[in-house]
Amino acid sequence: MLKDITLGQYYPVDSAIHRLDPRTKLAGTLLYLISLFITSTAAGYIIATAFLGFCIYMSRVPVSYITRGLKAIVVILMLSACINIFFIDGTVLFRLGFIRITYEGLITAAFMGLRLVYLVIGSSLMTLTTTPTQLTDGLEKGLGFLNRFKLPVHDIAMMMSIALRFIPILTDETDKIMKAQKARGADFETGNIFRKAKAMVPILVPLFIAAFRRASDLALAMESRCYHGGSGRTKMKPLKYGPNDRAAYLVLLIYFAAMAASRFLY
Amino acid sequence: MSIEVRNLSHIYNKGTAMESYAVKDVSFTIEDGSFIGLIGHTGSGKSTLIQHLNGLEMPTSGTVLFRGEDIFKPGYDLIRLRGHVGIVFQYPEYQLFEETVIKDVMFGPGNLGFDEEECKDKAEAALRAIGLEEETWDRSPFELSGGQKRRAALAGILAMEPEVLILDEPTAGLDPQGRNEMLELIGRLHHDRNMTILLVSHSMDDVAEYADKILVMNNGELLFYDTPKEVFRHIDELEKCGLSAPEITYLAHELRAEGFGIDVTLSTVDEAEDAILNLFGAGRP
Repeated sequence: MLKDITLGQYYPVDSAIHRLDPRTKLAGTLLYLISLFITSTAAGYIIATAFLGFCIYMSRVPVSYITRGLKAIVVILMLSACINIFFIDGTVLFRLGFIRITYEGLITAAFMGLRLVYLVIGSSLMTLTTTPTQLTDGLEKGLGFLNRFKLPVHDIAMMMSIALRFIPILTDETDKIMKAQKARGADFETGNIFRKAKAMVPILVPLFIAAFRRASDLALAMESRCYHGGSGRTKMKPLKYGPNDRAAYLVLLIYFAAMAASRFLY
Repeated sequence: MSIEVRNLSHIYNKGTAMESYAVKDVSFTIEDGSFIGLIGHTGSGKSTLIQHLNGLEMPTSGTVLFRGEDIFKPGYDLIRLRGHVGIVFQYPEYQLFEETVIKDVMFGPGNLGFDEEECKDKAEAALRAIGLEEETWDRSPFELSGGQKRRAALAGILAMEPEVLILDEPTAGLDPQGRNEMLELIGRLHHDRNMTILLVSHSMDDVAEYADKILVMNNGELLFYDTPKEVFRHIDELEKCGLSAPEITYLAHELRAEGFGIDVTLSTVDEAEDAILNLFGAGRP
């Protein structure tokens, strides 16, 4: 169950996508997410699917590995599909008592579902192909212009990367805690929802304590290496755009233009 | 024949770039009442292996028999099994969660279906057996010292009254006194209650003292499963996989190299004492 969370995990293979500058990937992900929201036509979704498929193919991350992250959002997907199917007005296709299903409802449900799925896959693809260090560097440099507005960009980037880094650590820890409690005969699978919720207590207490301990250890380790924030900090490997990044930006622009145009197509 | 492991393999991240064998075609039998030391360097698959013995991990192939029954067949009562085969994990922080030590120790028997009164009796007996002072029983487990936490975690398993006790690195991070006390305690449980013990460690010195048999793992494969004397004969092979023999065995090897007629397979200080006194009694050859 816990091994299904792919968000925030890095998949170590060498590919064109892995080698891109993190800023390119961040911008690409952002543009992709925006593009999903500006389109609402079938043509747009076909373009978005093709583009995502192309990126996954280039990244050499197995499709089965990426889609594993979807299991975590199944409930949200079902909920959104139900709301859309049953509550949107329009041409009625089917009626049973107070339940009715409309053509518009079905279409919206399908598009909303796809949108959610692509949002998750798109952002997982970025974290799967970018190490947390690269991600912070990219965020920090890409958003560097905000420093002029007295925004602590470095600190925010650091916090974000620590948060991302903690996801796999904490899932790993949860797994160990669950095993330790199962070894004492704990049962997390059977019983009604109240029993299951109560069975979570022996996991949550050690997990919280572990999280606080880890945070304090990390703070200590950072301080003992004289960490004092971003000012005056230099990089061992400064980020530099290469020919691949320029090509990637071009592809992104074409894609985005196509998506914008798809609004006016069918 | 208490636990029988048959051609057990476990593959992590099957079908991805990170695919790796944690355990590779391992077979062995743990007899009732034996004391077995499981040795291997970090990442040799020993932790993964022991988690199969009470059904916490599912094997990729192969199986485990407990008293002749396949524990991975559908419908097998794994919770009952975990009452018979107890695993104490390395970090007590992963299991302590209750308000008081005694309540925490009662968690295990409670899960096995015993009522409040029985749980309390079992918890008190377990806490007494591991020698945690009575005034700490009503304290929060988080106020205990490192060594005490480890004892409380052990009590949490003992309260379920398992016949087989598996301990994952029980001495890691303890000071020498804590280490000796922990090993003596385990030895006592084995001797007094005739418990089957599987002691996981990366230190030969830890297991040499008590184990009747030593199981050596290397890169997920079973390298040796024999008496300490036989295993320590293969000093070179042990060193090749990042392990060492007990220090006393090295001493014997050096004495032998200097021309003393000493048995190089001895593994405990007591044996060495006898052997060396014997040498002096007999004079230099």
